[in-house]
Amino acid sequence: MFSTPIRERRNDTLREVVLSRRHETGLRVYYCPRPGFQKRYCCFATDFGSTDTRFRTNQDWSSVPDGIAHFLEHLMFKQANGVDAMDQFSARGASSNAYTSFDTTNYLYSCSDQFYENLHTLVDFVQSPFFTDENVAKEKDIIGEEIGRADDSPGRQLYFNMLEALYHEHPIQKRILGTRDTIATITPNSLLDCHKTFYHPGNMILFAIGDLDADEYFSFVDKELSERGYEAFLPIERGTVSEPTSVATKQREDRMEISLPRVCIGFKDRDIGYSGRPMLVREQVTGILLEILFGHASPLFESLYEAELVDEGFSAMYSASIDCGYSVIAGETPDPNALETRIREEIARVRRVGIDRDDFERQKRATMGHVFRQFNSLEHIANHFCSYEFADIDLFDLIDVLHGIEFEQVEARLHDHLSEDSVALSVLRPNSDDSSVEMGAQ
Amino acid sequence: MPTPSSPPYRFTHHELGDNATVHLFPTDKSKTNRLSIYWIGDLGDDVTARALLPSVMARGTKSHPSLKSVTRHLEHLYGSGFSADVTKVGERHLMAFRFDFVGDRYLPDGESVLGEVIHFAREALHDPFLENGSFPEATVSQEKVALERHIEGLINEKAEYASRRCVDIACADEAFHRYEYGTVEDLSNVTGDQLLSLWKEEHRRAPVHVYFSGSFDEGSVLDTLAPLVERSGDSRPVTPLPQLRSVDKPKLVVEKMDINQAHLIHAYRTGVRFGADSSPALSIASGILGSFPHSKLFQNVREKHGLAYAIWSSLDRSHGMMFVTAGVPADKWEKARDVIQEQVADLRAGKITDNELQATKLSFDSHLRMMEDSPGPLAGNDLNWRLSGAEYDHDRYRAAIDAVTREDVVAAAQCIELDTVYALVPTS
Repeated sequence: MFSTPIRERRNDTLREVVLSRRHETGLRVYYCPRPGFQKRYCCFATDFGSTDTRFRTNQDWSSVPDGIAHFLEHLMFKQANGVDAMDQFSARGASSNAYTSFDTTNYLYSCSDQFYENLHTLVDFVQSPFFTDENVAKEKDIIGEEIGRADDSPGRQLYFNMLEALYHEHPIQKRILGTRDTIATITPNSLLDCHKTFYHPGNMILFAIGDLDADEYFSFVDKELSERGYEAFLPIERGTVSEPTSVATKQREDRMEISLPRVCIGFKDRDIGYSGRPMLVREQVTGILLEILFGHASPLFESLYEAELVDEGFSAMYSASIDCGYSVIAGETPDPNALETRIREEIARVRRVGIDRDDFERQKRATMGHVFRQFNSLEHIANHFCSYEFADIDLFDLIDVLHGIEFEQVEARLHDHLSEDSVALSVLRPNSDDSSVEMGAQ
Repeated sequence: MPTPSSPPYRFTHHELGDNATVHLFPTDKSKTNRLSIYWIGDLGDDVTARALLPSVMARGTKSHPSLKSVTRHLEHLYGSGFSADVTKVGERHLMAFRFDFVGDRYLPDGESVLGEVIHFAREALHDPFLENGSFPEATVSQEKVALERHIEGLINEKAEYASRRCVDIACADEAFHRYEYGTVEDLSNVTGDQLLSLWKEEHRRAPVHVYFSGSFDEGSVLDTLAPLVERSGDSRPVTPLPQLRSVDKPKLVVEKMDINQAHLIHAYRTGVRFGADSSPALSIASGILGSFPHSKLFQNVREKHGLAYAIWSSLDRSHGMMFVTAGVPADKWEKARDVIQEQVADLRAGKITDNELQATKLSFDSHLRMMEDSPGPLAGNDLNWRLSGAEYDHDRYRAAIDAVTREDVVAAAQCIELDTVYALVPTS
């Protein structure tokens, strides 16, 4: 049974509709209609990611190894009947996959036919743990290879090195995959503990998008869940860390087999603890600020490009969850020291002279265009809807939030973020490079 | 000109001149419109200069003479996207100019960007910013540096680097071995004068394909797009496709690098191009081998032997090649090689289960149907068929995939001949 009637949310600018109901098990169920589309896409997401390593639902706290959320994601596909769930989708011509982020784990499939057979498989395999000493041991080899591959990726290394420099305690600095050492300690029991806690429908979202009949979809989901006999959902308490506002390390340097040095500058956000619409507003305000300062239409980018200090890959972005947030400015450069100095000087300059209103208006228009582009992708809509929903944000609010952003909000953000004492620098140099970086003189 | 009626997922084709074709796909499934213009050339000795030209052109137009003014203009047009790049299809070398922008019906207050984006596109192609009749010297020199870094940066993504090296070795004496971005050695000799003559030649004489999809007025769109293919005289003829080679003697090359994971690439020759009668059957054969989770490579190399996280096979039908790509443990690459080659041998021997055949055909059909929502990949297939001189379209291809039998698959698998095994392994 559903505990709420169908609720319809409509956004006229995006011309999108999403229908939702909450199931008595606690599952939040969504459907976004796409009449006339061949592709049907569905995802089943849990509010459980790499940063959830300490938690409890009763008296006792559990601490689990780094990388366990991702390990669990791999293992879920193994079933007691010996058939890999991925093969069941594949046998119907559908394709399935899953991914783990800092905050969520998401199981998904796309298909043109047999949507409900596939939906049954999705719910069934995600809700039926089958962990043995044998399949856990084998997956350690496969994930070990995935870790080796990630360790060879300069972009990923640079990014996590920057997070390690920014954070003292927060688990966001840990690799999502874990390390070969941390995953070595994973057991069937620790996996079961995580599954029992986080994979209850009360902690999950089901989102479907495509050409479906809404009533048929909701009835099917109801039947699928009602047969499973769930106990009541126990609210989850997650371990918190006391993260100092300072950065852990001002700078770090690493080496790899790459062609040109890479620089990643992180600014730790101290103004955290938001969720819902205020979090979305802050995310968009910060995004606009970063584009004005560092985007390809900025005076800084033009001068850096003409001085051959950066290429087209130079970029800036803001990332936030409820209890942490950071801005990242990253690029390849022949001279990390010069690039870092120029970026700091530009922040100081803009803080003195202020932001140009034309830049602000133009950046708002550009960001709106990007939002329309993102809404072309069924996958993007479904995946982002779920991760936003876990933070009480409605993805379909995005365009209206953007519309309402005022110049003064961006100006204020310039002064409360991007400050000198919240910055950490991560540099990756080619193995062959003998020089080393010095922080810009202040 | 009347617009031919057709199913909503199919491009209609319109000749607007000698070797100048516009392909239209009206659809409201997408919130943005996509416009891609391809200038078709050959993967020849001037590949490096050809790779440089689009990025120099993208630096400014007559009305928007700097990178900053171009970017600001496009941002103002609701963040319209623009890229100027090169790509290779077999031994053809394409300059690709791509635009995407919000459909007018989504814009507030009756605003419209379609006309402005096409106006900008025309300038970018036919009226780039010139200083005293030349591309600005500083721009050319900056873009040379950027391209040099791009070419040298190939080493950064190890899997891509290994695939590139494998093609280099397997096709060493064919034009196909050339990297679409050229070489650092050739780059130092490219001059502004050479780029200017190249631009004049290409914008006046290159065979051109324009793909446009999204929401637009079908009655007037051809007139709107016509300035994109304006030229004063005849086009350069399209050169004939080269003969495909067969395997001389299989090669094995092992190279070392300071990395954690080994990369193992197998290059096979199939002699089967886009549009060949056996092309659909070969697609199914490659699918059974390694395109899906149920495929032999994933099941055996990853699931049974735990030798890889990523392993797949893919066809490059523009040059009749097949590749098997794997990231494997450093100390087990030889074992992985043996298991991969066993799977190919099984495929050639016709050891294919009913499930493998059926799941692969279903997966292809499902993939092709879902593609009907996405004009981008449909345009890509259409262009590939045209450049290979193939008489195919989406519907015919789907029907051909559906008609493939087990015997067809086994016959197609006989064409798969190992040419090169390339392993990139850790130094220590």
